[in-house]
Formats: sequence, C-alpha cells, structure tokens
Amino acid sequence: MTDDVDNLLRAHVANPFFVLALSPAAPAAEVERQAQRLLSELAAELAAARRYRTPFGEHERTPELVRSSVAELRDPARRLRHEWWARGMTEPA
Amino acid sequence: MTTDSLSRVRVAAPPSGATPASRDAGTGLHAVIRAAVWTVVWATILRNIGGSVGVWAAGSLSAAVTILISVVIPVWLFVFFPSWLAWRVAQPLGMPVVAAVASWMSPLVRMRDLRSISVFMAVAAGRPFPPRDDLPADAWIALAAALQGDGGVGARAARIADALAHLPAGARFPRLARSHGVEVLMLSALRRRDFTSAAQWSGLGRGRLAGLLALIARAGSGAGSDIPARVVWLRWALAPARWATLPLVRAVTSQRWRSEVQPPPAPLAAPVSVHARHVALIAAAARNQPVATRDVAALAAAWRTGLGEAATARLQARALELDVRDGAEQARVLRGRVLDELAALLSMSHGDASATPRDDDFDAELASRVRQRQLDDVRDALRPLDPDAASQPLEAWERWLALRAVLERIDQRAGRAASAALWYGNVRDPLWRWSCALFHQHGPRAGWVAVAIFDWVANRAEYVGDMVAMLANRENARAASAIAR
Repeated sequence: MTDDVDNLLRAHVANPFFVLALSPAAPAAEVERQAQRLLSELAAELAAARRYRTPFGEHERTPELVRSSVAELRDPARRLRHEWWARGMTEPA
Repeated sequence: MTTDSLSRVRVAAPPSGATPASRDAGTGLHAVIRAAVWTVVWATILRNIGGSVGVWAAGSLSAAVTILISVVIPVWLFVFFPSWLAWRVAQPLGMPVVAAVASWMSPLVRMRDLRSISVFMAVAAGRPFPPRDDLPADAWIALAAALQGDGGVGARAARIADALAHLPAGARFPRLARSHGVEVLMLSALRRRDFTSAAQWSGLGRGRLAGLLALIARAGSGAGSDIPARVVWLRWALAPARWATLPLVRAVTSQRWRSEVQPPPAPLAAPVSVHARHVALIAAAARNQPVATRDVAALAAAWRTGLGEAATARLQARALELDVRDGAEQARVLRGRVLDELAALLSMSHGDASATPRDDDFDAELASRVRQRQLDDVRDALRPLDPDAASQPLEAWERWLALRAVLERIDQRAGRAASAALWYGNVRDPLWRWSCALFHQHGPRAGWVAVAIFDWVANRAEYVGDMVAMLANRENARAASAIAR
C-alpha cells in the first residue's frame, strides 16, 4: 500500500516542468533549449544541475529523467496534463 | 462437505512429534549441559569469592557487607552480568563469539531464544540475514526483520512494530527483546532522524535506555518541546550506553534537530491550491504519517470545484491552444487520475469522515473506486497464502500482517456488514486452510506465528459472528501456544 503512494508521489515530483525547471507556460522551443542546457550541465557534472526543486522538496535530476521529461512534453496531450498539475501545484489557491 | 466437517478438517492438532514432551531430544540434552555448566562455573566462582574474601577479612566484615559479598554480588554476577556483557560490551565492540557465549551463560535467555538472538545480533552488526530455511519465527527474528534493510523505519518496520504491540497472550515477547532488541531499533530510527518510527518502537521498549530514547524521540519530533534539557541529561546520566547516546542527547538538547525536522504537510486550511493539498497528503502517506479520513474527505470536497465546469472549460481552452483535439477526453483522464489517487488515500486513511458524503456522481464514483481498490488489496494479500506452497514462518507471518492491515482498514471504513460479507465470501476458507497448513508444515518453528494468526482469526470470526471458526481457532491457538511456550 505504501509502495502505491510512493509511486504516486514519485510521479508527481517527476513532473517534467519541475525536472526541467520551467514555467508551465514555457513554449516548446524553450523546453527543447532547457533540456539541451541541462543535459550539457549534467555531462559536465555541474553540481547545481544534479538536483531540481519541487514544492515538496529537492530531488535528483539525471540525464534519463531530463530526456523522458522532454519526450513527455513533446506530446501535446501529455503536456496538457503535466501542465495542469504543475500549474495547480505552484499557483496559490 | 458440511460446515461441521469442514471445521473439523481445519482444527490444527499439534503436529506429530512436535508436542512439548517429545520435543527434540538434542535440545533437551543441550539444556541439561547448559545447566550443568552454569552450576559448575558459578559454584566455582562463589567458592573462590567466599574463600578468598573470608580469608582476607578474617571475620572482620559486618553482616551487611557479608550479605553484599556473598549474596548480592554473586546473584548479580549470575543473573545480570552475562546479558550485560553480551549487549553492553561484546555487541557494541563487534565480538559475536563473546556475545554468543555470554548469552548462553545468561539465565535470562531461554535455550530456544539463543539462535534467534544470534540472528538479531548479526543483523544489528550489519551482517546479512541468514538463510531463513530452518529459522524459527519469534519476537527476536521479527525484530531482526524490522531492523534489516531500512533499519527499523519504513512501512514494513511499522507493520512489525504494530503486530508486536498486539501480540496475544500465548506469543512470547521476551523481556530482553523488549529492552535490548527494541533499543537497537530505536537508536537506528533516531540516527535516521525518524522520530515517528522511534516513538512507535518506544511503546514496546522497557528499561532506562528505552525510556531515554523515547524522551529523545518526543523532544526531537517537537511533541515534547517543553522537556527541559536538564531532564534529558539526567535521564542520560542514569541510562546505560551513554557513549552511544551522547551525540543524540547533544543534538536534541542543543535544538539542532528542531530546525531539521521536516515541516508537516500543509494544513488543509492553509491557502494553497487543491493540487498542492492533494500531493501534500500523498507525501505524508508516503512518509508513513497517519492520514485522517476527514482530511481526505475535505480534499475530495475541494476537488468537486477543482474539477468543476469552470475548471474543465479552462482546460479545454488550453487544449485548443496546444492543438489537442480531445480536450474533453483529457479532462476525463485527469478526473480519473484524481479519483484513483483519492481512493488510494481513502483506502489507507484512518478515522471517520466528519462530513456526510453527498449523493452525487463524484462521491458515487469515488466510493466505487475505493471498494474496488479494497477488493483488489484483499485479493493481492490473499494470493500469497497458498497452503500448498512452501513458505518460511517469518515470511508467512509478514504475509499475514499484510492481509491483516488490509482487512482492518476495511473494518474501519466499510463496517461490520461489509467485513462479514468479505469474510464468508473471500477470506475465511483460504486463510483458515493456509494457517493450519503452516502450523502442520513447520510445527514448533511456526508456533509463535501460529498463536498470533489463530488468535486473530478467532477474534475476527467472533467479530463477524462466525462461531464455528471462532471456537475452532481458539482451540488451534491453544494447541499452538502449548508448542510455542
């Protein structure tokens, strides 16, 4: 049961907008640019690139996570859903 | 087959050759040798103390000093010194052989506990859990299982702690396990800054050190912020293992931990979005913090607006901007995910919902998902209980704990009528058959586990009004208790 909620939490904190440190309104070109920048920083082993912030704490950022995040945001329907959660979590009521 | 004949089939008579009288002859011989060695060693020590002190004092000692030297000190040496040596000296210094010999010499340690204690000590020293094939299951092994992996924290450890806190009368929880075993788990949890787990273990602990660690857990979690530092230092001075606990006491008295304690999830009254409240509750559940049903119900009520017509219209407008054709379908997908996650939270929440559910589509769909989820949980928990598949006693106990947790949550949420329907329809026969098979397969090694399971099955049968199962399982619990004693 706790494994279930662990997975739910993992899915929420791995929202692509958090992983890529972007606003939910970021245009597609900026998403691609930011992903390339983060991948370069991770390859250069920059400490700042290894962690990303969410409203629920910091988490580890890996090249795989960056690649999967940008792939998620390339699909408009998936982007819409991630955007809805990210916007909801970061905006005040 | 009638109900009566079924019940007779499932009465777990003690496995042949496993009655207390015919218990392993090797163990009996070992116990006799152990008693003989105690007698020889302690008689020799007593004789030497008496002889040398008597000659040295030459009749000059007072009556009190004579009693101290000839009675009090030898009794302490005989009764308490071996376990003190094992747990306070040999175990912390990594001397497993000395610890094993000292445990063997201790009259506080039962013969049958020696192996389990050595397993616990090995796990506490960071060595791997030995193969479980011929291990018994008892309180020491359960503590070792809780310590293994996550070091006494996490969902598995919490489940074990809860089960140990509710052991039936026939299932032993030795005094040494309550003191030395629980202390190790509390220390491990406190070193991980997991005050919730440490507090949970403290309910099982006995002794001065467990008391000190419970105080540290309360102070560290913020619940005992009014505890003066001098009280903590006094308890530290009176408790054993001062060197090991000094860093913890320093940290808690200097309030270093206070700033490190993770903030609790945002209270639901705070002005944060429903999305943030939703994920905050999931985060709390993932941290193993209790989730109140009324909080989940309040969240569900908030989602009614969050997923209302205005919100759906905004989502569909954004879908058009992003060139997503089926905006309405996306809204349905998001609604389904929210309902699934609310159902997951409700399935594991505790307490009653303060608000009466509304009779609308949202509540009906949520209730339906909760029911489906609970049925899935029961089915998942029952699947490993196969009477024909070999399982070790400890593994079997942990499987039963998982099922117990699921059924008790259903009791809380759905009430007696639903629990009775589930009992007769899905649970009773497979659980009963499996518990008898476990007892027959492992005999005394599974005695401790069998007492707990039969007793729980009997209580549960009584709860749902199944008198046949209740009486048979009370008898089964007595049979298992005779072997486990």
